[in-house]
Amino acid sequence: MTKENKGASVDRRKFLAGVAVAGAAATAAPLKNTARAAAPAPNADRPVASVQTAENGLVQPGPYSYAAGKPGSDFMVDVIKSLDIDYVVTNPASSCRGLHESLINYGNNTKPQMLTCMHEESGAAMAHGYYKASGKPMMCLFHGTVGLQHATMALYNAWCDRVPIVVVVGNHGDAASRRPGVPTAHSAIDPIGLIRDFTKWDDQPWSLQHYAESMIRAYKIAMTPPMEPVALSLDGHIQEAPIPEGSELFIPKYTPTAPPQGDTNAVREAARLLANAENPVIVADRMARTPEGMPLLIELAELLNATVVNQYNRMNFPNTHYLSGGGGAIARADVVLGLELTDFFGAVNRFVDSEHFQLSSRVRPGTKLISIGVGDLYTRANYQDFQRLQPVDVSIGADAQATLPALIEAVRQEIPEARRATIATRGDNARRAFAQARENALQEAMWGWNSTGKVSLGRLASEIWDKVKGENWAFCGDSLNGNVTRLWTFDKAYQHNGGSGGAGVGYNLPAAVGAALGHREHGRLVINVQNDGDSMYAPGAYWTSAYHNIPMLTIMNNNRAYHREVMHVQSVGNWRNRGVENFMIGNEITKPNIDYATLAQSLGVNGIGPITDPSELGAAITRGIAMVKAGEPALIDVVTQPS
Amino acid sequence: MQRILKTAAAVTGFVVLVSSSALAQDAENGNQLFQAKGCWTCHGTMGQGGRGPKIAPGPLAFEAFAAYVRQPALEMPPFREPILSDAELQDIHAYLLSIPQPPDPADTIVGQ
Ligand code: HEC
Repeated sequence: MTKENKGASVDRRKFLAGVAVAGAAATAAPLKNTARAAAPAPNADRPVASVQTAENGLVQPGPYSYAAGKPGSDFMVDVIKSLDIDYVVTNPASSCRGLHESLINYGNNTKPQMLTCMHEESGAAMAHGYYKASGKPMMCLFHGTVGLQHATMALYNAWCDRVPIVVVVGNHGDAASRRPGVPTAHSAIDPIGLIRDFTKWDDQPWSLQHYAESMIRAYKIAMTPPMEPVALSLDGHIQEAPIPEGSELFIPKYTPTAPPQGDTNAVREAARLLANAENPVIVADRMARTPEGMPLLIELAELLNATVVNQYNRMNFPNTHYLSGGGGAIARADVVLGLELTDFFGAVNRFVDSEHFQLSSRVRPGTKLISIGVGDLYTRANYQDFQRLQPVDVSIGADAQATLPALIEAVRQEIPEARRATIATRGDNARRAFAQARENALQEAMWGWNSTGKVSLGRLASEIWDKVKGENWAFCGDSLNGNVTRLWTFDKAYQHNGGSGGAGVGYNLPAAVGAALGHREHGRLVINVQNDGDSMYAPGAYWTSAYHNIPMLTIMNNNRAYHREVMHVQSVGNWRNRGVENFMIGNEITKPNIDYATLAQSLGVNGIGPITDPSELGAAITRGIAMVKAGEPALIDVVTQPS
Repeated sequence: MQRILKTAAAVTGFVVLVSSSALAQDAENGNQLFQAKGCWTCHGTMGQGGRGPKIAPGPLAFEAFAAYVRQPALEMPPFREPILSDAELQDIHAYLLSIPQPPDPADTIVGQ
């Protein structure tokens, strides 16, 4: 503690003594602060209301002074720094003002640096996208109650997508010490209760030491598979008050928890099934937690010449590999290995959304199913993101990536000599099928090639690819009805940032900004294919990208409607024989058409378009890329066909 | 009348001349219907595919086409008689028939 601070804390003690006197006096004369007996006489001018109150002696003695000592929130910054967190994303809030001030003035706004977002939902989605691009969790600093209410959907997405985020919300627990009015209305007994169904752990620390422990614990829990958001409610008073004298605060050491690996016997059983299969198929969803995941899966797949169906929530497998296949492969499988599938049921069953409930198996009777994943290790009850229960033959509750080395070894040992020829033939067939699929994809990209007014998605994906294929690029956003994943070559772990997890719309724009921030230090050209409806939930994220100099090229997939919903309403209308004439009511985003280029410009992002003639696309994309390479975000509005 | 001509066109060279302009008219009407009845929202304005598959160029033969639209097997919502007449269905089919083949990938950036 510095000299001045020491002096100040003495003053504080004096102040507290005064309060004690005042307290005693208050019994006799409520609301009268006798410690202020020597208050100046009323002045002649008409005072403002607050001055009047003071002059009338109506000030209630406070239970604290924030004026002196090293603030508690400085210690909180020390703890955050110990975790090597790079960014704190915030929408500023009075309940967090103590920590906010410490982050910028004590922590010098570096590691972590504050990011300003314009909606807590955008902030949480930024943290979500950033984690997947960088492998590092962000901290979100939000106002309790109303701020957290804004953040909820984005946190649900992160929960479904198994993404760690450390959420910290400000709250004032003590009714006697908190500010009345709005701060009181924004206080809660249990602010985190709102998101408890989709966070892995939370706490409301009641002292600085408690905070230090809980922050380290929260981070550790978030980073242990299944990785999920965690939350702390930080009391405003503990942030703002000086560190109590005599406190011996310390920061516990953070040691990452090694992810759980599959049981040896179960892994051996899985290996036996795979090694002896006629047609093994691997379906991977949230498997590749780190860049090491992809080479492991390649090794396993090549050992078996098994088709890999990548569900793209993580970049599990290169689409340039001859074993990369479509979901149709599942129908031919006799053994299916599911790696970190949130929805194994959906992978092996087919639901047809039609007039009559149609549910059927995608797999042949007798197909053996093997599941490796952390989904079985942690589930919450309320929200149904765990999907329907899929009975399987071997169920391994473990982290799939951590289990792959043992599985690869076991498969190597289990492959019978007599099988090797069959496995080699499988590889030859896969190579032929892959080449054919590639040819088909190119052909399919041409359908609707010259469509004007509404550009075809195959054309759009092709035009972007033509300009980015020579660059060091990364992709986020909508895959344009699969055209992007069919036509572009994805062979690096960072090139695809996956989906939202919970399908909560409004995710993509801020998540792309977060991802672009993660890619920035690597100099990657980030292409964000942005759906129009999604971007209008909180377009302030464009401003955040401009303010924080986060370069990214947004291509607006502007089909001017909530098109998925159009199709739902059409279906119901037809089932009822009422026709489809009115299908745009409640679904269209026209009259007026939104001018995204101008919107972007007003938020500090370069805007180009709208483009309705596909022959203009190439030049526009070249221009947009030049802007992004100059370090600025840019947007190209393309009016498109629905997907 | 148009339909009679179309049938006739199949057997006599003479009527073909007459029917080709009639067909063009049908196709234009079919285009309007394809958009108004919302086929485009799932199949794209040129039938190139979207949520639903590609249905043009080279649509199914009329019988199979009509049978599917009237009673789809899977996710496509059925367009039954009260909401889409046989004549309208014929015109939509004429529109799909009129859609030209796209360029060869080799002649575009796709093939490069
Ligand atoms: C709500 C979406 C939707 C709408 C609207 C729609 N379709 Fe479809 N259509 C589909 C889907 C999806 C399929 C693929 C098979 C299935 O799931 O039924 C399909 C299949 C078809 C097929 C069979 C294609 C083949 O090669 O087997 C034809 C023909 C067809 N649609 C024509 C039409 C026409 C004509 C209209 C308008 C009158 C229309 N569709 C409107 C979704 C739609």
